[in-house]
Amino acid sequence: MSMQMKHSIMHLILWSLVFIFFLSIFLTGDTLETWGDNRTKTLVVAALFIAGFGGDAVLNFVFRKRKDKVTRDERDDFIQKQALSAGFIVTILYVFLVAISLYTRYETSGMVPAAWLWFLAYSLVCVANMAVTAFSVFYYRKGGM
Amino acid sequence: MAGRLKNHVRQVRRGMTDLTQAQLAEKAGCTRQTILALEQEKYNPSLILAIKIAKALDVPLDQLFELEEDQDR
Repeated sequence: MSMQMKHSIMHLILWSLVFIFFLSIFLTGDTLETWGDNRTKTLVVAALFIAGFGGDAVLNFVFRKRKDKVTRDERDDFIQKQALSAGFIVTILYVFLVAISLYTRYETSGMVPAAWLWFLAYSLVCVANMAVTAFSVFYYRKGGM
Repeated sequence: MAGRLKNHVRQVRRGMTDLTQAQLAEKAGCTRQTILALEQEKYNPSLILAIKIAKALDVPLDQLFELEEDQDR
């Protein structure tokens, strides 16, 4: 298994965990109704994403380019490009589906709770990261790891 | 685009040299997984990498790679 595939798998696990914790915080209790007033949950979600990006930085450091060994080459770049293109489409579809679902649900009331916009913003980060790395892993498996 | 790039990297590496995939990768400046993918014909290298591999194996480029024309053309 190549270093870049290992990096992609760990990245996918990291952002899947962030997403699971995020959903468990956001979609439980009365978070949606009290988002603006619930300072604790707002800070916990922010801390969760800081941890996610911090983990990302750690992974980038661990899997950084080394002078003495080739850990990344043109095939890795090619796979990353393919994964980015496919992940981009999934991310756009996700935004479209969430936005249209919110519109359909709140069409009659004329107002969407602001918490849902925060949900879309935060979840978008997770979905984009997960989609790109999931496609990376898929293309690595398809193209000889 | 018509045609398929066929390569003889595995045959040349095994038949004309004693290089392992890892050694060839090191000489050509790529990863072992790229050599593996190349030998399984799951990846087409750039011209730069193709030349580096040909140099590492000490054979002309056209001995390593050939364009297989489509049958229906």
